[in-house]
Amino acid sequence: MKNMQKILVIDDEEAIRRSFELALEDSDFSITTVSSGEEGAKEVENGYNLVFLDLKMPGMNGVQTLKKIRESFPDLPVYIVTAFHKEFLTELDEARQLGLKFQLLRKPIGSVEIQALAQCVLDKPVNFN
Amino acid sequence: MIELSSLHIKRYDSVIEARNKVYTLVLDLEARSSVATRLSSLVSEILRSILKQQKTTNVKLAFTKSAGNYYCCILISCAEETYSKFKDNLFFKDVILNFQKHDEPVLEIKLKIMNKQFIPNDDFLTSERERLIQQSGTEMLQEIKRKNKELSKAINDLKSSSNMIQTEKMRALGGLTAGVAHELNNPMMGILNFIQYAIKHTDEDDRKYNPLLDAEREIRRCQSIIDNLLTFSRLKAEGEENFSEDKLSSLCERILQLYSYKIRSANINVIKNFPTQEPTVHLKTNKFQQVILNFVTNAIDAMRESKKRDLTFSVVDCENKIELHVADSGPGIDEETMDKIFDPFFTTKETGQGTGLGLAVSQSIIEEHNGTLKCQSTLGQGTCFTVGLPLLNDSCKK
Repeated sequence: MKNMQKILVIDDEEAIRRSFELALEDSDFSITTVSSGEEGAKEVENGYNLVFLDLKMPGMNGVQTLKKIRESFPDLPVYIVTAFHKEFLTELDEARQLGLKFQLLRKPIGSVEIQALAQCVLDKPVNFN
Repeated sequence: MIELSSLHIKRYDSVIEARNKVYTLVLDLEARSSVATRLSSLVSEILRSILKQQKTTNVKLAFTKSAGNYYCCILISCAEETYSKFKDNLFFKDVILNFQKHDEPVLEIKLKIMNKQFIPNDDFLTSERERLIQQSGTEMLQEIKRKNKELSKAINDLKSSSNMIQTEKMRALGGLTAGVAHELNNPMMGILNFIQYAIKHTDEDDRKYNPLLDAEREIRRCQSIIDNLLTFSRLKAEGEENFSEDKLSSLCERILQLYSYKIRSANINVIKNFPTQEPTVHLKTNKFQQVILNFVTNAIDAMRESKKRDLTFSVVDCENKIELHVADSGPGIDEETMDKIFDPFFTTKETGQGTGLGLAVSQSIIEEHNGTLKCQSTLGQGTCFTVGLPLLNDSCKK
């Protein structure tokens, strides 16, 4: 299908990646999943419309990955999906002060929410400030 | 009977004094022989003070035992005249138990002694007490004051150390909670989506459909437990709710409206004592509503078996703070349970009915507001939770 909207999911947890895949299975989105920040930063170069990014990951964490993504894609919508972000509060604040755009989402997120989020972000670009 | 005159009263006083001396002596009964002599002279003194004109002779002292009691007997030989005076003397009635007539009248004063202890009658005790109070009143008062001070200091020490233990406990639990929340939220999100996927691909008339819906509901419940835990340990994303100004009565009204169906169907009579003029307080509305909601659900559960089902809300303006009382007319909380009600995971509700986090969460929310939470309960009458919030809590404004 041409011009299919592309979503990238970066999460080290198999269950989370599968969740996104299942939720968006029959949708108009094409979904790619990777299991680390390093892979994600590389994969995003292939051009995506929306990124769901985990915060706590071995290797590059969410904030570091976000910085890397923002080097090439300053306006790509990125949702940082996290179970618990307190230990990253300072890093997240720092990223915000650097002007890096992102939105926080708290786990768990159900399939209806995932579909709705994808739909509204991709149909109508959301202001990320 | 002779008339009471000031002289008699005076005499009585001196007798009492002498008796006190006897008392002290008998208490001090280490060597009976020496006591005997001293008692004799004391009794002479008693008699002299009563019958100044009469010179007493022959005072004897004896210790006897009858019906398991020890008695100290003071035997005095005296003239007929003296004897009759004693017989009619109002004041000696309680002391003189026996008169024995010999050739010469013998006056017998019998004092009860038990285990070396003189058991005085009530009058004696009263006078002894008065004497003690008069003689060492100030001394005793000071001693009492000092002891009271020591006691309240000990109580305060205990309170602050128990607070410290509680704080430590919460801190440890907070750390644990953070880890658990993170570890559980990931697999929970997986389960939630897998179930929702299965629901999406299951026909409604399929018999697997309803169990799948149940599974989804239950995983949502797990989620709310974790949410509660995070609120409780104050590790939930901070700054998500700001302090705003609101009236406690408005919060109560909102909760009552929200839960009017539940309250009505539980046959609960709601009583509201809200002041006409009520100051606003700074609070995190949503979190505080959760506190009130916890009280309400607890009260409803507590009154399930009660005949009288009154749920009373009172807002009291006490100068520098405002208090909210939420009282039920349930069975009350016994002492043992009372010690544990604020402990996380402690519940008296049936398994699956309560997480045991309600009051622990409420307490941590109230602490966040610099407030206090107290619980008072009377068995058979009900339980009252009191929240105190400071009125000028600038420290809470963020």
